[in-house]
Amino acid sequence: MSKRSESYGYMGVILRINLSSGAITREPLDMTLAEKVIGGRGLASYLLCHEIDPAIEPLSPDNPLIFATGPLTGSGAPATSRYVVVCKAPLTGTIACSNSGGFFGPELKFAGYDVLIIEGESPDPVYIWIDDDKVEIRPAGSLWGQFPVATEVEIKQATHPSAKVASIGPGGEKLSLLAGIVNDNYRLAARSGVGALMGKKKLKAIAVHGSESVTLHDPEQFWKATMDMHKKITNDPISFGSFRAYGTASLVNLINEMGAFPTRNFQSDTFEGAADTSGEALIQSVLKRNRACFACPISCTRVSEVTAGPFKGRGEGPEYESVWALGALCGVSDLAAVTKANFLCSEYGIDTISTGATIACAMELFESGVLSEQEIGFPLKFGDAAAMVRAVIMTGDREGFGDILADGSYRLAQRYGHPECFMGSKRLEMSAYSPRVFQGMALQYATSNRGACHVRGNTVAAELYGIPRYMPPEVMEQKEEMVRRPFQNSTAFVDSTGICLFTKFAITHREICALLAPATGIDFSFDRSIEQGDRIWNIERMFNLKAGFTRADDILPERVCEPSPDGPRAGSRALLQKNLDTYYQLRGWDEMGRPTAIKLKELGLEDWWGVCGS
Amino acid sequence: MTHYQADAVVVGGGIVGCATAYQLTQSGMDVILLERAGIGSGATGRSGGGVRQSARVSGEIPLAIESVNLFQGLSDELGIDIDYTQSGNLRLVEMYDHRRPMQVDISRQQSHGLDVQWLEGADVIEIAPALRRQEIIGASYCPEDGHCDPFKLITGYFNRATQNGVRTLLNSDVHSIERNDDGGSTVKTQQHSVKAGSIILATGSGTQELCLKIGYDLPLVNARYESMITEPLPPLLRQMFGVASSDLFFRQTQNGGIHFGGGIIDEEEQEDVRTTQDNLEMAVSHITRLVSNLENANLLRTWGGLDPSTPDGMPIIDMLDENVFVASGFCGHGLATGPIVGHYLAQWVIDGNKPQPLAGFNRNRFDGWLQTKWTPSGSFEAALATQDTQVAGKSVAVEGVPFMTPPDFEQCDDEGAPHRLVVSPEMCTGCRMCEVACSIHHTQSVSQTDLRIQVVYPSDDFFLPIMCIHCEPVFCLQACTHKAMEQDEQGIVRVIDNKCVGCMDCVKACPTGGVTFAISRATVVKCDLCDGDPACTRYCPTMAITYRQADPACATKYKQLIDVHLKDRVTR
Repeated sequence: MSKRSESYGYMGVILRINLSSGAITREPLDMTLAEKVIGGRGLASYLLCHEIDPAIEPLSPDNPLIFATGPLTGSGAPATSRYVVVCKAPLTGTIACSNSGGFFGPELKFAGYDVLIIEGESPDPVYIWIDDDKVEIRPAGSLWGQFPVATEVEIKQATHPSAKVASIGPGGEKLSLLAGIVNDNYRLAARSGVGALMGKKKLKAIAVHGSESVTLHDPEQFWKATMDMHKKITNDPISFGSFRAYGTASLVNLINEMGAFPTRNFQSDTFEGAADTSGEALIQSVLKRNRACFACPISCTRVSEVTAGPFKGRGEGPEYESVWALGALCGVSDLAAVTKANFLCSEYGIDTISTGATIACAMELFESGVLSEQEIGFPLKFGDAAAMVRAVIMTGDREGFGDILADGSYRLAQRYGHPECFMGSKRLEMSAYSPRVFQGMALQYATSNRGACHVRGNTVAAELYGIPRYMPPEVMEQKEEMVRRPFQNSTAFVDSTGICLFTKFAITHREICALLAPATGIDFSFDRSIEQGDRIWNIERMFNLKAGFTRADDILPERVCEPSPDGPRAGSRALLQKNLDTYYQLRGWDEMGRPTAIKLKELGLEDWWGVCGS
Repeated sequence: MTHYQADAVVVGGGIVGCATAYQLTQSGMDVILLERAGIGSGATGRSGGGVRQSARVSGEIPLAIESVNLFQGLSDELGIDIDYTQSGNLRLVEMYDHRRPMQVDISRQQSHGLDVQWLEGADVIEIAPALRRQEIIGASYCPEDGHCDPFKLITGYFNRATQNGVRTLLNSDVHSIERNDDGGSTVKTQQHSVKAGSIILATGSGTQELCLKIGYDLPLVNARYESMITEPLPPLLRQMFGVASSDLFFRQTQNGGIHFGGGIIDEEEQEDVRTTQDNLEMAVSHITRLVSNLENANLLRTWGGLDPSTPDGMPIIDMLDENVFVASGFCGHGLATGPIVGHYLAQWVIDGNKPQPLAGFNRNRFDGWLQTKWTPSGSFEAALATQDTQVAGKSVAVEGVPFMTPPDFEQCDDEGAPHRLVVSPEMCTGCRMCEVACSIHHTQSVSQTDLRIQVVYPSDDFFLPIMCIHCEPVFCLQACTHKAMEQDEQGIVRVIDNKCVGCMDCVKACPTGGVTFAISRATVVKCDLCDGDPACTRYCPTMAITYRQADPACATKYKQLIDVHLKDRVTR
């Protein structure tokens, strides 16, 4: 199927591969749908809802793995490298939408596809090779069991030296619920366990090579907007200053000094070893250089190496969240160990946040005597760098006690009768911004559609950087509207376009609209795009409701609702319940958190009504 | 219609125009000054009075340093006290988050030889006790900066020019400029026609409109600034002040009034100099938060003004046409550099050679696809960290971080050599923006094939753009048996499309991989340096590719790199 001429910004084609039957089909992309839910996260979520019953078992052949790009992916505007992976999440049972950069997403578009849907299950390990119109399912053979770096080398030799590869590591193969999908060697679409589903499908990798380009509706206007954006980003002290120089780990000292850096499984909010694991320390020791995703001026990727000692290794990272989860959360202040653990997570293809958080949970259970040394195989104490690294390897290999760790902290805490030790929401572990301090993040963690993650609505931008405007972290008033509109809805829109969320430190939602309109020829006005974000959010919410989630799941762990014991913000706590009712009202939901009929009609989703109505 | 004749006509009676007119007459030229309203009625008379070297785009710093040296003797030279005080400039940081970016910006300015330093909050209060301690995190401090009275400054220049014989025609709005056969031009207003050998356009906010009339579309957008002044107060503030988080500036004039205000960036272009309640209130509430005891001061007057800005924060000082010069787009910094610009501009008019200090202000730096509609950015971005990255993120230096330190071109720059692309692989992040820019420039799309430049990834920490470097000997041209390649006098090799048969002999001969076969055209394609303004260098955010007069040794080094890292032609 050739590209449809009217689909500017889009390639106009959905590629569907059924691993059970081996069928490969191409479908035209419904452009009215693209207008409604854009692309990427929005489009894939919409498709998923229409492909499956949300109540199915996540690791079943009926659960498709959807790779989707946005209209801006590969367009050449700054930081347009993103693709998303959407499915019913193995870790959480919610809708999953894991997002990654690098070069894989753009290459998928260059090959001519907006969306790749993988259905069914292969009996034997395979990989998929897409070279423009040519699509093959090939036996993975000796690739099974390999780390992503080796997998990429081998696949490139077998296919095309410029192929872009997304693969799973041993974590995904062994169905670890912490597993993500690794592209460009070290980048992960990490959260929610999407790698486990790929492993269940016995799909080791997808390799893509493309030679088409993204057709733009109004190239002149598009490049004008692009140059404005390029100028803004390269003038922005956060994007082009801090993130380029220190990476995302530039946040470590900032957040820790605020007393909002969760430590030792959220038992404290300040970490005495923060400076040792900060972005600044990273530069001094393990950092080799920075690196960029496709067309990105920010280049926040860290290429790093631990050159000697027990934690010797080489790779990319660690990012802020990884430094935190494998560092402060486990009480570890040895940057070499944290870096090594981060490398190992990339190699096994498992999520650094959930892995770190699960090990931290196990450390707490060990220190409180619930877990014994005999059970784990060695003492697993907070602050023990070597034990933390060892636990990461066990988790990746599902070896010994690692078999339990590989299923995440929710199941770990449940299994040993201490659900209060799970620090997350909807079975997904929280990230590195204490909800005791950031009231916006508290509400975001509790209401996020994929569980307690930070990137569905990173209100820290407002509560720390003052973007789009400063709202003090402790303030409750108006946080519901802030979380809802400029963060959750706007982010849902941004994630659907294919541009990186990090650009939003330098450019506004409005400017992304100004890029989308000339790219696609579709009217993406500011108000309309916010509505689209709202629609996407509600689609995800509806999926979760149909999957069995209720208001009772929009919660935070009790621990963070109690006063912070120490640090500059001692005494502060998450006051979620005060916000939740107002938040529901603003969203147009009933008191149980269900979208009302009026709301669904407003969003053009009324055909869903009745399935989960009150 | 009255007819006049002169050696030179200066259009615009602001600081640049008056200084240029004065300098021209110092060399004995006969000069006529045309001004559409009154002397200093535009941006000069409405300016903030700052004479700053700090918080500027890197390319402008040398000129600013020279200008400050000039200012020290200016009261004597002009025979009028211009109230110049060299009391320092403080750029205040009010938010913790701006602290590090400001420090980064300071090290950038220091690297250009400027005496500027970071002061902690307490140290700022020590030298400026009227500020409120609790509001100030710190500041950048440049002790040699200062301020002056703009009216006195321009009066001094105008008086001197008049004494030297400059004839001035006020209320004379230029409506056309015609070229004469003798190489000179005739400038016409409603009432006058002035014939002159040279024309200098120092026309501030009217530049864009006037230049369009003579066929030049300069990337100038007028930004509006609003200012106000209080009644005279006892001495409170000695220094010139700016803030990192907004456009606010303030200073205390010699007679005691607090003069403050800032730039207002409108959503839409607005050619309106009236002040607005909102902007004034914003400035008032900001300054009263920063400076104690201002709450009860009475405001005497408020006024607005327009000043043209360029996309990179630096003026355009260039020769548009034979003997037609322009100096405009000073982005709100013109008062301080006006005197030195007048000096060099006059020198250029007289001896015909562009003075070296003006070299970086050519208009062709905006050529090609950068000629876009753009909006001037507020000084928030400009003040923080990365001023000179406006065209493409250039040199944000962070000490001890190699990839945050701009490459050192001392080794490779050679003024006698022709312009070439120079690759600094240590700066390359592998983002492929050069490919995108090149592809857009040549094919109007982000193509994945037929690339004239291509980033390769020999290892996970070494990335290299591959392209033609127009090397000697010219292997490709020598290999071509179809006369499908030509070399111009600058040594630039181009493909002649209708002669190329796609035999690929040149592809095999090229030592860098810079010639590629384009399937879509069935010919080879290669870099043509975009007629002197390579798109890749414009879009490269890190200076990994630059266009400069480079020693041929650079090309040799690049070829060696390719030999070492690309033996097996690892492509991306």
